[in-house]
Order: sequence, then C-alpha cells, then structure tokens
Amino acid sequence: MSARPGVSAFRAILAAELLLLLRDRRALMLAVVLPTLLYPLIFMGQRWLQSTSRRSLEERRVHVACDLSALDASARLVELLEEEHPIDVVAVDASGLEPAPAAITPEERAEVARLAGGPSGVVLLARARAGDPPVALQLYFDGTNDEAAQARRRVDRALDRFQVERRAELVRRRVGSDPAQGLAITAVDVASPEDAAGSRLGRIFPILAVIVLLSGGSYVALSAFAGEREAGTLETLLVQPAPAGSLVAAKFTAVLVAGSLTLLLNAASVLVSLHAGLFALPGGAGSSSAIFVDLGRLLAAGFFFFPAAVLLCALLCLAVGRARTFREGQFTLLPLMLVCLVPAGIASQDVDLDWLLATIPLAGPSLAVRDALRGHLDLPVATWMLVANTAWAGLALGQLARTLDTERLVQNEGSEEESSQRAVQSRYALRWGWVAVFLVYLVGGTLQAWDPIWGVALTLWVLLPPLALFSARGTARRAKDTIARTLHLVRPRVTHAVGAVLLAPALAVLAKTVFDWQRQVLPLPSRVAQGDLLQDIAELPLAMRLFLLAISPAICEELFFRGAVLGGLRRDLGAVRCLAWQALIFGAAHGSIYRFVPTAILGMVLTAVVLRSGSLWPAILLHATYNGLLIVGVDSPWIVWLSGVGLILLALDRKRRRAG
Amino acid sequence: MSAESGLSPRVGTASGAEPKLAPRLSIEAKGLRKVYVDPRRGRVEALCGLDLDCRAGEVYGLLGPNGAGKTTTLRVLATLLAPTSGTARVDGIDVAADPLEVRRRIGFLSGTTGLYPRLTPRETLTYFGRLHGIEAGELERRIDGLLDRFGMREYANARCEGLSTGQRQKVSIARAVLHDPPVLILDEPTTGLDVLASSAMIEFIDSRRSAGTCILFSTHVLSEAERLCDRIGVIFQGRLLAVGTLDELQQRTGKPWLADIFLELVRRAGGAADVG
Repeated sequence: MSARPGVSAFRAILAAELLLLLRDRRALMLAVVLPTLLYPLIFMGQRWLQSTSRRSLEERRVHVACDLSALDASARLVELLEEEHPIDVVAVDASGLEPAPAAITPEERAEVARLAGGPSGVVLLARARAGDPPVALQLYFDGTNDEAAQARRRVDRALDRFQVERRAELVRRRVGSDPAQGLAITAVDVASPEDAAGSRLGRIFPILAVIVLLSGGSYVALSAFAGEREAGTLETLLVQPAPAGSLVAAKFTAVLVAGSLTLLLNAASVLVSLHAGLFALPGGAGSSSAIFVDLGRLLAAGFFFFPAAVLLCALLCLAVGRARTFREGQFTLLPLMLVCLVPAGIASQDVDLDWLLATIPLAGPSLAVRDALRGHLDLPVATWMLVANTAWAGLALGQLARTLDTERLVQNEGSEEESSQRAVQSRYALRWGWVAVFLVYLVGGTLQAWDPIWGVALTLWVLLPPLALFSARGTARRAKDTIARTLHLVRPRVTHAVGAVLLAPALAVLAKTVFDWQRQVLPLPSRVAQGDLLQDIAELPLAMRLFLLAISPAICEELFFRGAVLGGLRRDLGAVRCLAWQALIFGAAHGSIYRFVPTAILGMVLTAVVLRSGSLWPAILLHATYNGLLIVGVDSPWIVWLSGVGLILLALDRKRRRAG
Repeated sequence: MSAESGLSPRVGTASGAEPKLAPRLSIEAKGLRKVYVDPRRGRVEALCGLDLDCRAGEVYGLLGPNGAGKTTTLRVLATLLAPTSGTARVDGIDVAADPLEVRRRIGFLSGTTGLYPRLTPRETLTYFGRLHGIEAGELERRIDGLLDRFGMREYANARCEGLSTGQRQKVSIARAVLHDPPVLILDEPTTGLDVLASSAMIEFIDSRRSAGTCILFSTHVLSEAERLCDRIGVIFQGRLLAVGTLDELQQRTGKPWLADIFLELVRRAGGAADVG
C-alpha cells in the first residue's frame, strides 16, 4: 500500500479518464479534429466568396445616362466617367425630371428607367440653379438593384476625382498655390504591428476562449459524471478505497486537460490561419496581410487566463455533476455558457483594467489577456487579478468537492420529469412573478408616461395588490394554508421589526456606493441621471413624496414580492435559491438596467429579513425607511452604525413566528 | 426489532475439550436506520432498526420483495450510504468511522454495476487493482491468475463493449475479488443472467465460501437462496422479519417452501401483500 493513497488514486483515476477520452473517437473528432480543420476551411471559403462576388460586380458593365448641358467642363467629367470601365456613358435629355422631388411618382420612376435604359442604369443630371453654386448635380438610381449600386459607386468615384481637379484648378487660378495643402494631415500609427495585431486579437480572444474551453471540456465532464452515473460505473468506482476527494479532483483535472487542449488546438488553428493571411481580424484598418502575434505575448495571455480556465472547468463540473443522465447534463451547458460569456465579453468594450474589475471572476482575466496581447499590461493590477481569481477558482473547487459527496453521487432515483414535477409551488410563484414584471413594464410604463404621479400610484396600488392576492390564493390552496400566512402577514417579534428598520441607513449608503461604482462601468445617460420621473414628483410636498415613493412601494411591492412570490418559492426552494430568484425578479420589475443591481441587492436583503423573521412587516418597515432615507438623504455617517445594531438584533434573535 | 440469531457464540463438545469459538463476526449491524427525503413521498424510512450478523465462511442471503430495503442495507454496509442511526461494522471496522478501510476489505458487486466499455478486461482489472494499491508486480500475477481461473484469456485484450453478458459478468466478478477481500457483498448478482451464467455465479459463491470468505447477498430468487444460503434473513419494509437456517424457518412457520415461508412471515407481521 502506498503511503499516500489519495495521490496514487488520483493518478490512477486521471490516467483512466484520459485513456477513455483518447479511445472515444467521436469525442476526439468533435472536440479536436473538426474545429482545427474547420477554421482554415471557413476562412478560405469566406475569402474566396468575397473576392468572387467583388470581382463579378467590378466586371459588370454599368449604364450611366448623363444630361450635363448645364455644367461647363462636362466633357472632362464624361472622360473621367469613361475611365471607370466597363461603362456605357450615354447623353440624354433629362430636363423632364423634377428637381429634388419630395416623393417619387410612378411616372417619374418610369421616366428614369426609360432614360437609363433599364432599372440597372442610373441618370446623372446637372441642373442650373439660381444663386451660388450655379449648378447642382443629381443622381437618380434604383437602390434595390446591385448593378445600379455599382454604377453609383463608380459615378461617385469619378465625381470625386472631378471635384478634386476642379478645386485645385480654381485655387490655383485665384490664390496661386493651395494654402490648405500645408495643412493636410498624414496619419502615422506609432503602434507597432505586433501591438496592433495583439490589440485586435485581444478583443475577441476571451470570448472565443470561453466558448471553446466549455465545449471542449463538456464532453469529458458529461461522460465523467452523468455518463458514468447512467452506465453504472460510478457506483463501482465509489466502492473502491479511493477518497471521494481524489475522485472528484481526478475527474476535474481530466476536464481541465481536455478543455485546455481543445483551446490550444483551436487557438493554434486560428493563429496559423491569421499568419497565412487567410483572414483579417475585425476592427483593424490594415490590410489583410499576414499578421503574427508574438509567442511571448501569447504565453503571457495563456498564463493570465489560467485561473479563469480553472474556474470555468470547475463550474462545468458543478453544473454537470448533479445531472443524473447525459441528456440532463447537456441542458445545463447552454445557460452556463451564456452566463460565462457576459463577464468575458468585457474585453471587447473600451474598459480599463482597474483594481475593482480585476477582482471580478472571468472579467478580470479577460481584460488582463487583452492587455497582455496588446502589450500594455499593468503588472501590479494583473498580479492582484491572478490572486483574486485563483481564490475564486479555489472556492469553486471546494464547492465541487463538497457537493459531489458519495451519497449524492449514488442517489439514482428519479428522472428529469420527476425532478420538475416537484417544485410546483415555486414554479407557480415564479410564473406570477414574471407576469408582474411584464405588466409593470407595459401597463405601469404607459401609466407613468401619461401622468408620473398618478401612474406610480396606480401601478402600486391597483396593479400589484390583486396580483398578490390571486397568486397567494393559489399557493395557499395548494399548501392548505391561509392566505394571510402565505403572505407572511403575521405579527413579528419586536426585535426583528426594530432590527430591520435599523438596517436601512447602511443599505441606503450601500445603494449610493453601488450607484457611483456602477456609473464607472455603465455610464448613465444624462436623462436618467436627472431622474425625469422624480422631477415632477420633486415638486410635491414632502409628506406626499414620502407616501408615494416610500410607503406605497413598501406596502405594495412587499405584499407581492416578499409576500406572494416568496411564499410560493419558500415551500420548495432553499434560502439561497429564494434569494437568487427574488434578486432577479425584483430587479427586472424595476425595468431599468441602471437600477438593476441596487434593486436586486435590496430584494435579497428584504427576502433575508422575511425568511429570518417569518413575517412581512419588518420588510415593509425596512423598505419604507430605506426609500425614505434615499429621498431625504443620509448625511450623518454615525447613523450607519445603527445598522450594526440592527444586524445584531436580527442575527441573535433566532425565534420567529411560524409562518406556516 | 431484532432478529433471532442462528448460531450461539460458544459451542461445547461432549468430551469437555476446549469449547470451539465460532468464526468471528465479519459483518455486524445493530439498529441500522436509514431515512431519506423523497421529493414525492416525503420522508421515507428505508431501514427501521435492522440487526444483522454474518460470519466468515458463511453465506447469508437477504430475501425480500422490491423496495424492502435489501439494496439500502447492502449499500450502507458497502459504505455507499451513511446510516441515519445505528452502527455497522465490517471485519471489525466501523463503516461510519473509517469507510476507506472498510472498502479495502469488501468486494462489492451489484446487478447494475457496469464496466467501462472502452477498456479491456485486463485494463479494467489493472485500473481497479491500482485503486486498491496493489503493487505492479503482484497485480500482474493476480490478474493472470484470475484470467486463468475464470477462463478469460481469450478475450482479455478485447474491449468490454464487445463482450457477451456472461463474459462481462466474469470480468465484474474478477474485479470484485482481485484484492482478495474477506467479505463479499453482492446485490442481486444473478439479475438478468441466463441459466449458464447464473450457475457459474452460484458455483463461484460456493467456492468462495470454502475459502473462508463471508458472503452476504440479496436476492428475490428463492431457489438460489434455498441452494446456497447457510442462513436466510427475510426482510420486509425495512425490517428483518426472521433469520435462520432453512430448517429453522420451516419449523417456525410450518411451511416447506420458501415462498410460503415468506408469505407467512409477512402475514404475521401484519403487512399486506401489495408491496412496492
């Protein structure tokens, strides 16, 4: 027996997983071979298609009918036009056409077509005008026709050259030499070619990396967890004297290896295509000549991306590990990928890597990768990014080890349909939640546009309470409980009520901080910053304002969200999921992305208060106080310390009213 | 509800010679309870205070209908599930305290156990041998021995996905005894096997018993139990209704056939016949 059974078990299991992967020909094809061959083929095909279509248009003969009698030097213009061959330039009499018509009549259209010799031709008309300039040029064409568009392009080119010539001639005649020539700007890009190429690559690389890593690792994750559970080999594995930790670690490592390998192969394929000039990166002004991003930068980029890769694989294992069958596991992949793409996509925006962003998982590494490729990496911040994101990855791995304990891995009962049959109450409540979000957005938005004050009042008092009652009635009936108890309308303990109210100052300060921080990453348009809604309401007396913006939302929103919706969610889901759903729905109900995060946080705190105290009233009081403080303004900092007291009151008093 | 024990701990001989100690307890379970929460049915008590004991060189058969708790019992003993309360010891080691050590001493085989389709039998045995920490040279020797013993030489290097059910079963059995465990726990080992494969399994169990292994297996095929078992435990709705040799059970219920014995015991326990 070896001295470290855990390590030898880890090695044995990892070796077996990789061997199984290598022997799975289909997985290798899909995850490795196909993408590697695909990129060059796609790029080559694209290029060929583009050049063929361009060529064919350039080679087509276009028809231009001109009436340039009003223009002097028209002969020169016709010469320039004829240089844009293959072209037919025909002189016609177009004086019958209306100057700058407001709307084209069918007769006009027909006349244009006749003069141009068909719908694919264009008519160029020089018209004499009164005043300066004495001549105006008009081009009549059919915008839906490819050849007419091509003709138009060539006419534009010829006209440009004509104008340049004429201007130079005029200036020379009047002034001597063109004074503006000395002021002509020549743009010189000081960025080195590597920087330029790296910059363009860095914008899209993180997104691609997330997609490829998840796709490559998913096959291994699915077969290592859900697949083995389905095949019955997982149980056999669990009876071996290998610690569960080694098991999970080995499977995770196999996923990481597979994902990373796929990522490397795909990246290599893309880079080789780039180098061979098969395609050009988007966003660049350069030609599609060969670009080679230097190896040092690529290695640095890989290094900074590594914690994100670990985190992604851990999330993959977490998502797939709880699935009972292969198919069930596959359903979790797309949502996971979408969720992970959001922070990774930050690299494509014009945001700088600062200390705060470096802390955010996936976002920090993405920005660091972009900067590394660009050649402008801020080393201290990048180091902090590594530390923070390694911590995130470690957290995820720890969670992985905990969630996939033996007993849960072995529980085989039920299929997907069964698991969705449970949680009836929570799904019912969520449906009502989304209905409310939709109605508030549509109906409430209309009402508030009509009259801000009455709109808010009606939305709160007329829209929400009936929704709350209907939804609570369904939940109560199914749970064989009273509506009042479903809505948590029970008398709270005094400590809880007081504690909740005292939380308000800290929340208000937090909201302000979040808002300020948010403005950095999500700049507010000035209209929203003014708060056009509040503009009208600001003119009301204070008491009315408090009623409308503090008391009304407190009562009505709490009744619906923390009463009816939470009442349903609570019966099926644990605290964490209740908090998550409440944050999402409450945030969405306020209909503005700028207020989403602060509102979501408020939703979570209110949910926690209700879950803790078992009653709705503390939440109502907190909400009212919080809104009130936002209106009146929190100025003295010591008031925040009251919140500490509030927190203690809520935390220490564990008894709560049975809410049923 | 404790069951009657078949063997007494001390057996005296007529000539007054030293009393022979019966073989020690390989498996010992006291008051095992297992409760879990099923989403549809709520709290389910799979085991309600089960007592079990099994000795070396003994074949103990756990008999009962589907849903009686056989699989749960075996999984608890194999350390796949943790008991809600009660204790269980395998080869003297507590399953809750040191599950890893328990797993070294048991060979577990279940009807639902699968094999890795893309590995060969030899690779499968090597893999599980490494997990048990058997040294490479010794492992080779044992694998060769098992391949010969079960007649698996000809397909030892063919992938498991291409093997027949009987061949796969042999590989599974070889895997379970590779590390020479003193205790074998088999969960409905003959499910889905034809006559030839079933009798091969029965023969194997017999041979192991002669070698001194303690074998605990569950089945709802009564004829197997009649043939193989030294003692039979009748389990129903998480409880052991009775334990004893076939003779003892026949005397107790007054029925000759095991099927009738079972029905009689269930009737006495007040349970309805519509189980599962």
